[in-house]
Amino acid sequence: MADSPFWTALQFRKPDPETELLDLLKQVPVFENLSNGGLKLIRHLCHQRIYKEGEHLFQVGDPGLGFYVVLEGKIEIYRTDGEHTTRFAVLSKGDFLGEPALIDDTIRSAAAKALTYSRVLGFFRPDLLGLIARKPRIGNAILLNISRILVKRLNATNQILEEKGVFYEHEGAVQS
Amino acid sequence: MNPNENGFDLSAQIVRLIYFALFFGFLFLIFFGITSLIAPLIFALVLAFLLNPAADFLEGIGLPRFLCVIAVLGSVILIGYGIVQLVSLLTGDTVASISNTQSEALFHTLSVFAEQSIGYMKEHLPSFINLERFDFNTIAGYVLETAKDFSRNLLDIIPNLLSNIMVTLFILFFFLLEGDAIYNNLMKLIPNRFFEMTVQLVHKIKTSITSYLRGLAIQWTLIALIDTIGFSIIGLPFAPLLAVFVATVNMIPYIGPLIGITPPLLIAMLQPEGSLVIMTVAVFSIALIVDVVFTQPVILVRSVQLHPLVALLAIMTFQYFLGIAGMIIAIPTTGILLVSLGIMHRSLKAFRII
Repeated sequence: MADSPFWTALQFRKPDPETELLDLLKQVPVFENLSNGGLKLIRHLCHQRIYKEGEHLFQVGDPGLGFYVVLEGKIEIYRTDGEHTTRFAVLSKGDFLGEPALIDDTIRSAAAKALTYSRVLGFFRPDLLGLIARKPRIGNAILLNISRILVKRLNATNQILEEKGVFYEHEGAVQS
Repeated sequence: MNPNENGFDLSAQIVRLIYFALFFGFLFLIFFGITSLIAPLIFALVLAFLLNPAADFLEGIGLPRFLCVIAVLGSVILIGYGIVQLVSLLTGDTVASISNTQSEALFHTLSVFAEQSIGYMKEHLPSFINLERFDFNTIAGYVLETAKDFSRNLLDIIPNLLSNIMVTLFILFFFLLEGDAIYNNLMKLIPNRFFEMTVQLVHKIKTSITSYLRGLAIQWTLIALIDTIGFSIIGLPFAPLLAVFVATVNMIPYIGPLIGITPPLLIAMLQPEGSLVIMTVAVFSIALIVDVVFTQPVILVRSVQLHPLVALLAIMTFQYFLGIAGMIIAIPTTGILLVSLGIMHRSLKAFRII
């Protein structure tokens, strides 16, 4: 109800895009537990980019350099192997992609393409390195957050592998 | 006209045309203004590369960015003021005596030095070289007159120099304070396709330039310190000034040391103690050995590696266009260019653009 045009028109304070952006950044796990000052600094370091429908954020095999937060629109994560295309996910507002590239310069394993007009916020490894030098506390908090995300993913992968019995097969192979 | 019918939207084309006309007009105006500020702008940019790590370090220990920039700039101004004070203290009387019309004493000293030199050369040079043709008194007069002109022109140069220094500091302040915002705004101009590649390229080039400039600063400081201490101990006049000159021209590879040794040697020759020449060469050699053995291989080579032939070519080309200043900036500029090209080539390959 509060989002209806009627109530919006009655509000004294107009929605501020900058505040909205900071609120959105707060929700991104990479920037969790950061102070408002820290978020504002990150906001200034980030690059806001606009992609047209069908335009790529990055392709498979590109050197990974940073991660993106979707501010508006839809981003498809996919991989093409010959004729076959696998869609991994479609990301929308508040979702993020490519965060391992903040730590390591491995190549992109999947492509990211804008399905609609999309606005994203890019945060790159050079920005993070600069931040670690200038504001070590914020830089370390981000590194810790990325580590948490990667550990969660590793655990999830382990669980899947365990469920599929891959570990047992591997252990068996080692034992034999 | 309906754009959906034939795919051509005239109004959109006109708006696009106006937008680009305004954009390029604005760019033209900016560049027109920048041409008069090109020297302070380049100098401020180089200083920003050099001083940004210091500002970052201060910010890292918890100071607000504004205070960090003020502290760094304050230090630069203090050091600059100290150098100017030192130089004016050491050379003020000499400059005044040169610019003074009653400078017969100096003319006499120069003539005596010229006569001594010609006598020495007559003894040691082959007989077919006819030294009688050289009128050393005229040459000494010319040198003195040039020095007089320079010292007189100094008064005209100073206001211009001061305004340039102020502009440089002003630009430097904004580069240090708002470097991120300037960089982000410039990055907005990069098309999406080349964006990540450009971020990577800029980062690598920035790292390379910063590391090279830091190396140069260490090299300059070491040589200036060794020469200042050495020249002061042996009693060479204008020791700090000569040391600064030696350290500055030493940045020109190969011929830099040759240019550097000349003024200290000339001044040592003008002194009554004959041993001063040998001691000057000894001090100069110690600084040079430290530079060749430690600074160049340990500090500089890590950042820019140039083939001697490329280096020589660069020095000659830059000297042709920019004179002595060109010789000083030849190696760093060529190094940065080559590093940038290398990184660009690798990045373009990695992003499959070439």
